[in-house]
Amino acid sequence: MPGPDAHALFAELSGPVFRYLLRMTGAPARAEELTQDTFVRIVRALPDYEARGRDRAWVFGIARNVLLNERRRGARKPAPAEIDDARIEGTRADASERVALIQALASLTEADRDVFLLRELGGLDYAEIASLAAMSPAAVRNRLYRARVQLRRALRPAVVDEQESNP
Amino acid sequence: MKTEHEEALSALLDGESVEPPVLAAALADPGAAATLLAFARVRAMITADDGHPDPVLRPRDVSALDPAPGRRAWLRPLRVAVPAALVGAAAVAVVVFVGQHGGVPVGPPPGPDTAGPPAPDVVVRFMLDRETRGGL
Repeated sequence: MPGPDAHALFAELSGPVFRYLLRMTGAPARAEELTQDTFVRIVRALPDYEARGRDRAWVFGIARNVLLNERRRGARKPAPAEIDDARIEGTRADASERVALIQALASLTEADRDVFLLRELGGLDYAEIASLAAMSPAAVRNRLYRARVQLRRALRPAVVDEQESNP
Repeated sequence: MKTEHEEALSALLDGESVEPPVLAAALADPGAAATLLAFARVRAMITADDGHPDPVLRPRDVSALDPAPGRRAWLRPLRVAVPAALVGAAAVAVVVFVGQHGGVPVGPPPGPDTAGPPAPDVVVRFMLDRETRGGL
């Protein structure tokens, strides 16, 4: 089975990786640097990578390590609540929804947010997330449920139809 | 809605296996449809979030991603966005360094040498033939 191609990986996953790092750091410039570091590492590691059909998990694992290493080195605190207004484009309704989303994500614990974003942006399954985050699949399931309930509460006007919730 | 039921619906949404009796109980819960819909809407909001890398991050030539044989990939970064002022300052620093350590005189000329001239390797003597040349 041929290994993955750097071009294809970048084309497919640079966006999701950037969004994962953006929502974990809250800082677009840092997220861009970390995305770049991630793909430089991927290119360096590709010759030794044995394709096992889990490219997304491999790529997100590298992105997550890049993020953790950067935090260890710089001891930077995550700032998920930072909102770069320049990046919030579109209609006013879109913008307010996006701000609400960013704030809702910021309200999650870092571990819950990490698991949630690996699932929703990375598309990783529970076993893959469990392997990356060093926890059991049951813990992943529970964290995801917890994150969803909290996000539903935080985003209530946008995601909950009152008639549906009170039949 | 019961926590157990919501957790089962969350797992169902992710395509993970859920015990059939638990799933049956969760789906029978009056709030099941609203919960599933709310979870799906949260997912839609996250995936519609179009936070994207700065265009400068995208290499114009994606071949930059390929490590050339014999060259290290980290020497070929995906993005080069160094301010011109920084490049200029670095160039000046290099010139000064090379000037000081590479033999190119930079700055004021050295003062008078008190150690005297170095010993010559070869001495060339010019002898004047006053008779044949007619003298000076």
